[in-house]
Parts: sequence; structure tokens; C-alpha cells
Amino acid sequence: MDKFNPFPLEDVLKILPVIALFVTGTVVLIIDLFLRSWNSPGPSSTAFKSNKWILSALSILGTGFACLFAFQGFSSGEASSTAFSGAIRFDLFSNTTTCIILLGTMLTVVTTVGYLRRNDMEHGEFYALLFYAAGAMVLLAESNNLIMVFLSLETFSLAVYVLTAYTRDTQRSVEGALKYFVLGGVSSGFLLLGLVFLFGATGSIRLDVIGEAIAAGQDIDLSLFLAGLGLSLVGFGFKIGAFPFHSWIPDAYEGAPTLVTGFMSVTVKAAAVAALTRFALVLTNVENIPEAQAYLTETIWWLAVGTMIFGNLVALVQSSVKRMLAYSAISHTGYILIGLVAALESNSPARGAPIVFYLLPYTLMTFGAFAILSGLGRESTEDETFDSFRGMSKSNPFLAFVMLLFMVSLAGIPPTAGFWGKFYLFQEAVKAGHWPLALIGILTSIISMYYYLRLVIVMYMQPSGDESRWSGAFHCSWGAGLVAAVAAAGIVAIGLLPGRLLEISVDSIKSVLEIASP
Amino acid sequence: MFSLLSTLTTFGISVVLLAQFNRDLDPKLTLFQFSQPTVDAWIPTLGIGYRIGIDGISLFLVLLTTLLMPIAILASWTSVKERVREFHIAILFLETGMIGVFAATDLALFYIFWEVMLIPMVLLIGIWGSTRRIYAAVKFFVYTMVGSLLMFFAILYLYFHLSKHGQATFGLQGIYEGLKVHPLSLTEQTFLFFAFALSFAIKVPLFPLHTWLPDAHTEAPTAGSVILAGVLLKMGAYGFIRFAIPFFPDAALAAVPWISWLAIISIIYGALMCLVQEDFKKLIAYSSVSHLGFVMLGIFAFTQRGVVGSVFQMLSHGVSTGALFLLIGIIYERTHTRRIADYGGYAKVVPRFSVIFFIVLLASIGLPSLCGFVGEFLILQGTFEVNRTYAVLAASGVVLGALYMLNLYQRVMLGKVNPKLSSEARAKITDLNFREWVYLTPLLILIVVMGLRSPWFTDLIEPSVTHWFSEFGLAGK
Repeated sequence: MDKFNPFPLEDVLKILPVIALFVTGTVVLIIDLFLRSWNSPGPSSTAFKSNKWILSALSILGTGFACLFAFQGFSSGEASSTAFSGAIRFDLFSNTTTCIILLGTMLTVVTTVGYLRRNDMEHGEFYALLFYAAGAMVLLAESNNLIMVFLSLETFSLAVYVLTAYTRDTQRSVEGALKYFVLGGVSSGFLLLGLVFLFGATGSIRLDVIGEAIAAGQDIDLSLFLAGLGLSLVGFGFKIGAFPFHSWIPDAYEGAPTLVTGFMSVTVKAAAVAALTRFALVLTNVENIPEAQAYLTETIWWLAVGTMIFGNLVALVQSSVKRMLAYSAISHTGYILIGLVAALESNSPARGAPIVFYLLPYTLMTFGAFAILSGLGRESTEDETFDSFRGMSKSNPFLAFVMLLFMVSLAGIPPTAGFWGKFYLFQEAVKAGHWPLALIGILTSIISMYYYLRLVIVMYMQPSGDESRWSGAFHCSWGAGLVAAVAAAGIVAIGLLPGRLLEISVDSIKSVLEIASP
Repeated sequence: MFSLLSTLTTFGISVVLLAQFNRDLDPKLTLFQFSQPTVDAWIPTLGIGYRIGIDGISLFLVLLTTLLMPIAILASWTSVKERVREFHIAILFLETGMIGVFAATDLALFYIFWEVMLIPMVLLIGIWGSTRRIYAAVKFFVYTMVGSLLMFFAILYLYFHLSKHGQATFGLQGIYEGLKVHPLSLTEQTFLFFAFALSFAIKVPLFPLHTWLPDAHTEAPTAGSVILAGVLLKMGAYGFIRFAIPFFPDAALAAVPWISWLAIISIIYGALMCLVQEDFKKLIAYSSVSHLGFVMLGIFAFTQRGVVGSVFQMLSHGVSTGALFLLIGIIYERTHTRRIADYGGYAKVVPRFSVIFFIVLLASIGLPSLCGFVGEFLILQGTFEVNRTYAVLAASGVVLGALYMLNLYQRVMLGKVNPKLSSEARAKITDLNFREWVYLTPLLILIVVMGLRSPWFTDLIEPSVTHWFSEFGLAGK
């Protein structure tokens, strides 16, 4: 009898990006121990601090390898496959989302240069946590198996909780992390129960098997199935920050060190959205379980409306840029949920493509904004208010312009990538017949213009105090500046030529739908 | 310097366009000329193509844009001293957006260019404007944004309607044909027309959506005001002609009384507001409201004369009001006040300036043999053909126009020199210098030429307008 090999070589090769990430995290952690022992006089010696650049370098290298492996998977163009007895599925969708998560990670890692040192956070543990979280997120995007979903979700959640609390001397950091942890624990409980119910209803833990069974018209326990869907929706909703599961976001985002906030808002969202999309599209099938589709559509409809309205309205009154960006992240989740509703209702073979498309511009513009915020000033409430940005266009014209681009993109004004994202989302919504949803989306976008524009006005049109707060381009840590520049370039490039990315999104979503309706 | 050269080059290119424009080409065959290079498959997933083209109506609007840009830049030569580079960046981006708006023959592309204009304009007003500039910039932004987002929704809905019948495209030709085959119901048309009309009416501006205009115009720097008045306002009217009316003809015809009355109110209200203004620039801003009211009236008269007159009036207003703002800018640079009460008797101080000012003023009033007359006359005649009441009421606007303008001239130029003007201050108020002559002269020439030789212009406009009527089933009379 064949010995069961839990690590068949082809499968291991497929998860090379994940392995690269985990290995990098561990290596950095270990190297940091040696760095500390080399320079053993206390932490305040300059020699001690100056060797830490090795950590950043290693991290960038590691992430680079991971990206390399991931892109290789992209270009090989093979058909979808599963690995590890169906725990992980490799299709174009998982590949695309993996790349987006890796992009977020790479941006984060580059921004750590200078940022960590300035804020006294430069320890190997930071990188280790970052990489473990990233690796788990990639696994979530690739998960095909209910247990895998839960495991990867919990893994990166734990890492992110700790990252949120990283500046443990500040009260708001600990408070935010605690809120996140407690609420996250509760929502994970919901998720677990939901997944268990789904298993109970369908008899299999593999998503693709469930999908095929449903498509083939197999009998399933409907009430258990719907309960499972609802409970898992709570869990996912929490992670993406949908109303009414959003309450942790403002505090956690504000309390976490700004770089961590950027990382969280981008990668966690991408991974969770990917998992949710896969769930929603695979588990709903109009002919065979119309109730599931009707239920999900209606629920997510309300979630979308609530999220958009809440996120945008509350962002209006914020005086802290960081909190404003946190609420803006919530409202963008709302837009993505519009895309999900449209995907559920539509008959098109590419339904759900706008969601995939939106993730890349969202990553670039949100992380870019957080990167600039992290690069200037220190981790303190005073440095994050709107007023601290006054006159930035004179003291830091390049950064101010890049921030302008991000604000314009977030608001959805052409010719930026953010515009195309919203355009595609709203177009699909109208095509699926959900034009009230698109209308609400547009109206809330109008509201959002105000707070995005507010930052532009403060930067460009209001005079700064006697001494400009952050004079000189050199005040911004160069990692943040580099990332901001790259992100801005990306936004403009996608804004002018979105065609290729659109095609990729369409193909990605088709690869997910293969299981749903073979 | 560079921006001056590039805008001049652009202008040169557009003159070439004018020369090459084939007036004998039957619009039924080629609605739009110069439409290469078109990239139909720019974004195939969304059905958007990079389609551009110009017809008789947009030709002159493009020319107007490219003419006013180098002039605006010359005008800002000395008045913009801070952040000059950013100023020119903003202006050039703005020009791109403006030309794009007039040239786009793809609905989504049009929308993109429409939005592209927004941020540079906001920056122009907000950074280089005068005291209440932030308020004016934000007001401008909010007004325009609300309108354009509603228009965005209408665009999407239109696309959706066409895609239901398998005709989904954003290209204008495709939409026109698709709508002919699968027309929208009257309710749908009314809502969509309203969405588009709101956005354009804000831009025009049509009473009661005009309140952003006085603030934006007064607080903007000279170049900003010139471009705003000269070009941006025309886009609203152009939008009606190119999009709102052809897409939704039934709704448009039903809206005639509403819009005509709003137009008349604009004309008269605008003129009345001019009579009580203390601020020079605000007065001219309100006069724009009044003049654009004429344009809207002419379009919604739906007669050949009315529409041709409207297009012509758009051009002539651009030239004459642009010149007015330039003149205000010149004198403001000398005196640093916009209060009319601070002026008086300037005809003795700056005689040449006052002559030019008088000529432009007469053009604005509509004196025959200058440009303003042709447009206003055609509009009034076109309106008279369909509704005498409207025409009579609108004609009173002409009288009021003369009233406030001549009153303005008298208060500023004639009479005794203002006693508050000390002699050192007076010495600083020099007459027009060489650079100012350079950029005012083309406008002056145009004013006279448009007035005396209007067929040169209307000959190119008319075939497109005739086609417009026949193509969209608008009762051409």
C-alpha cells in the first residue's frame, strides 16, 4: 500500500511563496538575536541600531523571492489544480490575489526602512510577525477547504493582533489591539460554527467538492446550509470591516502603528475579500439552491448600503487623518460589497470581476496614503491631524502632489485607477439590475469627495505656521517616499491603461466560477 | 515660457484644423471629422473606446479654447509670482481636459475629460485666487461634482439600457443608432435627461444653479476667470447640444417651457444683479449668467436660427467676456481694488485702456457690427418664431444689458477722477503696455470680424446644426 505522503513535491512547489514568506520571517527573527548579541551594550548604543538594516534588507529579499515564485505561477498558465488533498486550490484567482497580497507586503517591507528606526520599533519580531501574517493571508486566498480557511484566518489574525499592539507603551495601541482581539475572537467563533454547519449540510469540507455537488443538484440540508452561510458571513464581515461588524476598525487602525495600519487595511482586506468572494460564488447556485442566493444577496445588499453610508458619513467629521483613512477603508469595503451583490445576481460569465479589479487600485491608493502618513512625523496624535498637513505643498511639494493623487484616486476622479475601479463596480451593478445600489454608491462617493478634498485644500491652500512642520523632503523616511512614488505611478498607469488589468480580473473570476457551474 | 510656446502650438494646430475642415462634407455621411486616430478598443472590457471627432459645432469651441489659453498665460505673466510652475502645470492640464471635452465622441471618454478639468480648476481658484478663494473653490467643486456624479449614473444607466438589447457601447454614433432602434420610455428619458441636464445646467449656469459662479469668478485669478468664463461655461451648453438633447429628444421637447423660463429668469435676474454690484468682477460674472441665459433660450427654441445663434453667441461671449476679464485683470494689477466705488474718471488716467474697454463693452451689449449682436439677434429671432412672449422678455434683457454696462463705464471711466486716488497711486496706473496689447489685439480683431463677417463662422456651424435637427427628430422649422 502506498504510504501517504503529506508533502508531495509538486504541492510543496506550489506553495513556495508561502514557504518563502515563513522562512524569511523565521530567518529575520533568528538573525536579530545574533545582532543583539554582537552589540551587547544596551539598546541605546548607536552601534546596536546601525546593524538593523540587515533585517530590512533580508525582508525585502525574502519578499522578492516570494513574489518571484508567485509570478512564476502566473505566467506558467496551467489550468487550475489543487494541492494537499484539496486543501489549497491554485487558479488564476488565487494567483492574482496572492500577487496583490504580496504587493501589499512588499510595499510594507520597503516602508519599514527608516520608519521602524524612527519609532523605536526595530526588532526582528516585527518582521517575523509581518511575514507570518502575510504567509497565512496567501494561504487564505488559496484555501479550498473549510478548515484551511479557518486556520489561515486565525493565524494571520493572531499575528496582526500582536502587530497592532506593537507600540505597547501607548494606551491607544493596546486599547485598539485588545478590542480587535476580543471582537476578533468572537467573530472567529461565529465563523467556525458557520463552517461547521456548512460541513454538516453538505458533507464535505472541500469547497470545490461542495460546489460541484451543489451544481449537480445533490440534496443538502437547506436550513443548516443557510445558517452556515449566515454565520460565516459574520466572520468574514468582521474581517473586511462591513457594517455592523466594523466597530473595531477605527480604534484598531488608529491605535496600531501607522505602517501596521497600512498593512492591515490592504492585505487583510484583500485576503478576506478573496475568501468571501470564493465562498459566495461557489456556494450559491441559482437553479439548485435559489434560497441561498436570495438570502446572500439580500443580506449583503444591506451590508453594502450600511457600510457605505456609515463609513462615508462618519469620515466627514474626523479631525485625524488616520481615523479618516480608517473610515474611508470601511466605505471602500462597502463599494466592494456592491460588486459582490452584483456578482451574485448577474448571469454573466465574468460576474465578480470588478471585485478582483478593485483590489489592486485599492491596495495602491490606501497603502500609499498610509505610507505618506507614516513617513512624516512620529507616532502621535498631533502628527496625524489635518492641521499638521498645512502648507505641505510648499515644504514637501512632491509628497503633497503624491498625496493629492491618492486622494483623487480614492475619491474616484478620472484619470486615476480609483475611478476605473468604481466605474467597473457601478457598471456591473447597473447591469445586474441593482441600480439603486449604484445610485447609493454614487451619492456616498459625492460625500466622500468632501473629506478627501479637505486634505488637498489643507495641503495646498492653507498657509502653514511660521515653521513648516515637516520642512524638506528629507524629513520623510525614504522607504515611505519610494513606496508612495511607486504607488502613485501605478495609480496613474492603471488610470490611463486599465485594459490589461481588467482582462486579468475577468479571467481570474472565471477560474473561480469553474467549480460553481462546470 | 514653455507653456506659452506649447499653447501657441496647440492653437496653431487648431487653426490648421479650421483650414482643413471640409464644409461641403455631408454630415449624414461623416458626422465627425478628424476622428483619427481612434482607438476603438481602448478598454474593450468596459466597452469604452478612445473616440474623438469634431463637427461644425465643436470646431469653433475648440478654437476658442486654444485661442484663450495662450492669452491667459500671457495675462498671468506678471500677476502670478508664487509657484509659477505649478500654475502652468494646472493650466495645461486644464487645457487638455477642455479640448478633450469638446472633441470626445465617446460618452465615457467625455465624462473622463469632464472630470479631469475639475481638480486643476479647483487648484487654480484655491491657490492663486484672492481672499475668499478657498470658499469659492470648495463651492465650485461641490456643485460641479454633484452634477457630474449624477450624470455618471445616467451614463451607466444608458449603457445598461443599450446592453439589454445587445447594443452596448459608449461611442456616440453607436448610442445614437441604438437609441433610435430601441428608444427609452418617456419616464426613463425624463429622469435621465434630468440627470444630464442638472450637471450641464450647473455648468452653464442656469438659474437657480448659478450661485457658484459669482464666487468662483471673483475669487479666481485673472487667467482662471478668463478660462472659466470663456470656455468652461460653454461646456454646459455644449453638453446639452451634444448629449442631453440628442439622447432624450422627447424629454427635451417636453422640458422646453421649464428651461425657457429658467433661461429668461437668468437673463433678467442676471442683468438686475449687475445693476447693484459693488465689485467689478462680480458684475461681469453676473453678466455672464445673463448672456448664457440667452444661449440656453436659443437652444431650447429648437429652431435653426435659435441654435445657430446660440453656438455663435457662445463664441462671441467667450471672446468678449474673456476680454472683459482680461481688462479687469489689467486694471486690478495696477490698483489692487475691485470696488467700483474706488474708481472714477479713469478715462483721463488710462485713455487707451478706456477705449478698448468701451469697445469690448459694446460687444458685450450687442451693438450691431460687433460680435455680440449676431448671436443675440439670431437667438431672439429664433425664439420669436416659436414664442413671442419669450422673445419679448428676453429682449428686455438686451436693454438691461446696455443699462448696466454703460452705467459701469460711466462710474469707472467718466466723470472726475476719484479724489481718493493719491498722485503716487495715480502715477502707478500706467496705460496698456506692449504685452497687454499683444494679447488683447487678437480678441479685438475677432470681435470686429465676428460682427462684420459672421457668415465665415455660421457657414461652418449651420450644416452641423441642420443635421442635428434632422438626425434627432427635433421639430426643425
